[in-house]
Amino acid sequence: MIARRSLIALTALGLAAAVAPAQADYPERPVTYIIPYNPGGESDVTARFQEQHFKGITGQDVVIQYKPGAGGATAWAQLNGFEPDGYTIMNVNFPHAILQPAMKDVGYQTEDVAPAYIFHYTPDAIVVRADSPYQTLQDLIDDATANPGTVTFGGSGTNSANHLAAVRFDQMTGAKTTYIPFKGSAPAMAAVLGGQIKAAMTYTTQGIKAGDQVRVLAVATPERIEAYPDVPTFNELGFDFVGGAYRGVTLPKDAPQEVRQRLSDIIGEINAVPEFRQQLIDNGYVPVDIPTGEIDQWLADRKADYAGGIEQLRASN
Amino acid sequence: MIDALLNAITPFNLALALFGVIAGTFIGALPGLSATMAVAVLVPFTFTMDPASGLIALGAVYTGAIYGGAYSAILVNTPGTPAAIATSMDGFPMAKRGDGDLAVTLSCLGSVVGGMVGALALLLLAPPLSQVALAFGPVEYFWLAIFGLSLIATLSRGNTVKGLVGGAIGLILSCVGSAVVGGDVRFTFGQTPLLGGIPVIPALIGLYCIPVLIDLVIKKEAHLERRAEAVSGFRFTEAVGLMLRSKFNLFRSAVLGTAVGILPAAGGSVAGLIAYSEAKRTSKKPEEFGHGATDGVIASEAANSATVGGGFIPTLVLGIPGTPPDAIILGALLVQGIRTGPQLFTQQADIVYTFVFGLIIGTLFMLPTGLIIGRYAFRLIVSVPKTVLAPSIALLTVIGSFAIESNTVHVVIMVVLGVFGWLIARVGFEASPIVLGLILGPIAEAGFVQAWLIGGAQGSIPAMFFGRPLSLAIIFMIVLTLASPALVNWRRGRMQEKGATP
Amino acid sequence: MSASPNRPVGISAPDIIAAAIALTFGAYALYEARTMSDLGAVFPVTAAIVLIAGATAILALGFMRPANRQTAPPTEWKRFAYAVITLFAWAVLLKPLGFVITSALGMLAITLAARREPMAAKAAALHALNGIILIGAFYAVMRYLLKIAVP
Repeated sequence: MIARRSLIALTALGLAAAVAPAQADYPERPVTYIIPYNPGGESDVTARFQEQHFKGITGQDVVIQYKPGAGGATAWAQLNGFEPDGYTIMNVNFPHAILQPAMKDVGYQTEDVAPAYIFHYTPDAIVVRADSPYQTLQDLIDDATANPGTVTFGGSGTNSANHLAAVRFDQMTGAKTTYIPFKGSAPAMAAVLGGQIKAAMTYTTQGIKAGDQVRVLAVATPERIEAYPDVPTFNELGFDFVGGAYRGVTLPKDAPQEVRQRLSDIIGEINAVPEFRQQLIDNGYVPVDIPTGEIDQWLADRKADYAGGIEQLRASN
Repeated sequence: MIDALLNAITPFNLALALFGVIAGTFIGALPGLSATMAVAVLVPFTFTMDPASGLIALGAVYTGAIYGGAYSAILVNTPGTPAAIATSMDGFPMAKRGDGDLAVTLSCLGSVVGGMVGALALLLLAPPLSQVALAFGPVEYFWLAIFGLSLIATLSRGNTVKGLVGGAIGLILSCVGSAVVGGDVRFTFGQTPLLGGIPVIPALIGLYCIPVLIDLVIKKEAHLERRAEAVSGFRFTEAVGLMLRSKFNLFRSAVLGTAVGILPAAGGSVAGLIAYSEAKRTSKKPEEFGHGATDGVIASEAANSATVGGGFIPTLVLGIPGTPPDAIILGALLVQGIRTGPQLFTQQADIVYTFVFGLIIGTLFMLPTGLIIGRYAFRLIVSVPKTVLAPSIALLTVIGSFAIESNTVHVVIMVVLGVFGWLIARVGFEASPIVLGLILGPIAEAGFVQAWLIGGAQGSIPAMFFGRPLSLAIIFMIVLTLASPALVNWRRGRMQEKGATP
Repeated sequence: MSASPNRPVGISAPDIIAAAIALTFGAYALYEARTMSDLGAVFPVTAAIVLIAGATAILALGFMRPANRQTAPPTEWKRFAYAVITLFAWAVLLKPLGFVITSALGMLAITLAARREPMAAKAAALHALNGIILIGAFYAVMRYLLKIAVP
């Protein structure tokens, strides 16, 4: 009995000894940062912004890797197979990681990829070509109401954040639009610029990249954003619509609480660097700060927020 | 512009470009280590340099990597990058019969010319050419992919029916996973690792390289034929002569490559295949294609290297990346505080022009490095005994399929497809049609679904598919390609008749 | 078995197998397509039609024209089996055993499978050297240069 107890104690000690140094000064070696998308998108660009400051704060490199597939699901389904030591971290996006498991079996549940920190969101925005007849959002709504189905909204992917936004838009305004899925935001913008579709349901970041070739009709933020002082918010126009794609960083769920906390602190610190923040804002991102302690509540709120839209998506499929 | 040129040819930048090209060539030559990966790894280093030098390094690596794919395509029948698929179709038969050195030299010359055409287009015509990217809508992508697929009909040596069946098998493989456009989950057998679809690079390695490997193990013959006379070196004059003789092919392929490079959803593989298809269609000896036609190698390499310059046109002018490596470079530009757009060529012209000159220098460096590396690579492959070659290739297939996303599942997929490929080759199915279906299928399908939805919204689906001038032009090319074997036969028949009855 | 230029019925075993493969893929695609959305089913169904039509054509053509039966050298199935088993083992064991060990074993097994005459000690040493250099070089390149997480 005693022998057994001391064995357990020894094992526990041994484990503690094995784990403790890993946590003490995390990170002690380069951290692999997995982007579940192709390069060039918002997730990649943000990671590149963060990369420099990560090195500054921790003294360690981050190594960015791409594991694209199934709108991010391939990578997220693999997350908990990695060593939970904090040296493999992953970008995670919402509503994607709520939508996908809700729509079909994708090999993971939202809770499996619970983030350690949510650092920003790219607000939904409706973008049209500069010479489009739609001067205001009302013009677009009027056209889509008078001629149901003829207004084409391009966006990235089916059952995606853009798709959800398009469905919610129809719900709010009573208009009827046709959603056209593309393989990513960039091809959708190319189709708007080329006049193949009438508008894009996309993010502010995409509008900024296209410069004065496009006009942004409305953004889904609580207040107007710095990059577009003249563009109204949906709220101003009378629609209760705030949101976009929230991005955060996650790590395998068995990672020690200390590592999760430390990662959350590091990302928070990066988010607080003034020049980093300005860089985000200039490119159309809206920084937010949801540290690991507030994630559960945040996730619950988001799920409630998306519930109606998800019902609608299911019905439309 | 002169300033930019002087800026680009500082000794440091020249050294950077040379190093970039060499590193890129090696990475491109190893299947699975891709241009995307090389560029992604390099990006953090470029943050420590001034923007122009960083961009030159990135451009040089990218150029080298696209070219490097030709080596493995020619010497082991395995395209090192998807862009080199069409190169393997004639490059490997050339190597088999002992002309590997000639094929390597030709591919190098073709790449340099193609790369120059692409870079010059970027330098001189970028803003107007970027409009090409916008003129292409979903329906044009659909037809372009069908154009690429129509190559199957003329491609399959001997058996068209089996070629078509192979293409259809490729299409089904391309449907595996969760469809980005449409959202269906298809053919996954309930396996979550398959949700993301069949990964292209491991599939390429499996379908092309594993059969070569199995044959190496089970057959007595040498991998490549040794020429009776001593290996004659670069065979440079001979290659230049061949290039001059097919200068129209060379130029057409480079222009086609630039144009396809501008299209964001197409890329090097499509460019190589279309240039190859056109070279074959207009050739006086189309029957030589697939059996070691030098024109095939020239067309494919000129076209895929031209996509490098072409791809930067929408990237820099519109902010829409032409290829995945372009997307990474676009991200690097953003981090450096460079804003893409038409104004880039006026407001930050110095950086852009330095970059373009860097690309041109990188392309020129490809000539000596490509020739020298190629020569030794060929000699090595010819002289090494099979018992060394076979395990080495086996190691490369495993590394290549693993490294692309450090995923062991991909290695399993690679082996399964490879063994499947070897087995069905015994009943007459070749790898190329399957790969064409796999690569072009998603482009065709996305274009089809989008065009269908947009056509529906506009009230006329037939007008969407058959009512746009650009679409009609591509459809015309498809018909021409499909009809050309019949036309050639008919013309020959007439000639023979004339010959018979003078 | 003497191949005469005008055999009455010329369908060959490879053609039958080819048609069977095409039919299998086609039937499976059609079966799965039932549960897909209308637009999602277009390509699988088209491919299935091509496959089934192709299978029919292969059979029909096979019966119509005398197959030109090539006398290929007999396949060495034993070596094939060695190679395939090695590759599968390599792929599956990569994660549990790690890159270096599986690669060394894999290369050794493929060398043995491809070997046709006994090897002198010196040759064997050179083979081993080649393997060590390749594995070491790639491990270094992936691990330290490309920063790929290698098991």
